[in-house]
Amino acid sequence: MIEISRCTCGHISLPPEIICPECRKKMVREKVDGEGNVLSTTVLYSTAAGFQSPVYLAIVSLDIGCAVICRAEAELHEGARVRVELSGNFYSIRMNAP
Amino acid sequence: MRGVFVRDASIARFGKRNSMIEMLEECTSGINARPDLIIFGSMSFSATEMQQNTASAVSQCIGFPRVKCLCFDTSSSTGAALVHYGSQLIATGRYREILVIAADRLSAFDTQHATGVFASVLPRHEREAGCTMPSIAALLWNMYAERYHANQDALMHVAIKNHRNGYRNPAAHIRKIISETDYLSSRLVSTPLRVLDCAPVSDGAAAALLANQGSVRIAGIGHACDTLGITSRLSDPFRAVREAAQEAYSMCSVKPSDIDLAELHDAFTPFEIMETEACGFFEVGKGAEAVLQGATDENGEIPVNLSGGLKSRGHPVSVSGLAQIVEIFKLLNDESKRKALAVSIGGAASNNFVTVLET
Repeated sequence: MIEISRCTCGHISLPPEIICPECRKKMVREKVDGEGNVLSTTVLYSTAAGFQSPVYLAIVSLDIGCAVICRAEAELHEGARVRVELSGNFYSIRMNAP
Repeated sequence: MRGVFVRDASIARFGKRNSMIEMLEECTSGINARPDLIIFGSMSFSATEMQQNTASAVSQCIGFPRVKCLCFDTSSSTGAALVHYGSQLIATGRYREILVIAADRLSAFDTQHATGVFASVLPRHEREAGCTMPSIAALLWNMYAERYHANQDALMHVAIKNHRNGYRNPAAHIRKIISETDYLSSRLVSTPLRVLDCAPVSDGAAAALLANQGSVRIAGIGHACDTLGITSRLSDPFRAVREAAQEAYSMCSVKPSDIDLAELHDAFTPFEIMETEACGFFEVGKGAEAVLQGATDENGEIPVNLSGGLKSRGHPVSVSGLAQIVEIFKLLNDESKRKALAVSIGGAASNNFVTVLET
């Protein structure tokens, strides 16, 4: 499960935000299942200091209606079904979500 | 807007530079200025020079310690922000001459550290996942290519074209003509982007004197912002670039087809293609094909990055937006071209400026 924030205007923020970026109302936090589809991927070789190359990255479109950039453990393909989790301060992907 | 002009403009040679003071002197000494105000911009001045109170420090070092001064930062579009807001102050009639200067000296950091500094323009959770700016450009390109069935060879074409153009530019960091073999054998940075898809990390400085008289007029300016991260605008990631372009066009009643040449923010080759569409030069999804057909080449319908762009001239982050305007100022002074446009984007297109200059 991951935490998102939802606004009465329909906007969903991930990571959760306090103020809605669409209408500036206060958002409400909620726990949701992080299932979604991989939209785009890249294998990053030239990493910033503190990261070991390569880093596998993907944009995941979550079923609940938002998207997030995640780190994966291996190369992924567009359209793959995955589950997103929070790992410390970033989002990661668990492969082959049911 | 009351007439505002670029009266003079200059670039200090881009590349590896050892001294900030030397670069500031080099880009301002040839400009005959008596400014009422100095606006400075930098992304990393405080960190590399170990100096806060930046505007005063810079004014002092170029010999204007008693001129009013300010400092701006909108990350990689800072240099354009200086021109936009400086020109609006001139338009009020309260200021006669404003000297805008941008400088960055990122070679003070090693490449991995500099990569981290560049990445610091992104949201924290993306940085902590390992994202860098090239990886954001790669993710955007892969999504774009899938959506519009874009031909990836267009990226190579942009790189080769901009290096061919930059070869003639004495201020450029990398004056080297590259071949298809050079491109294809260059190291992968973030698939499918290679080293030769990415602008080099450069040191550099540029300056422009904005005034109520001159030969090159600032005809249109547009500034538009969007979310810090790209994931809440995936259906139209460069929406705010398009909005900035529309604002600039409508201010001067100019159409995309009236523009004779453009300097676009090609920090990564995909950005140049996406910006040609955001500026209305080509239909959305048709930019890659247009590039492959030579439409943005030197003799094409809309020459893009005749200076070599960020790709060849180099990318001293905060300076690039101002360097584009200096290049256009020079091209408009030297040639038969009448109208030119510059696009400068901040971060992952979160803080964007479009400028139309005309003679």
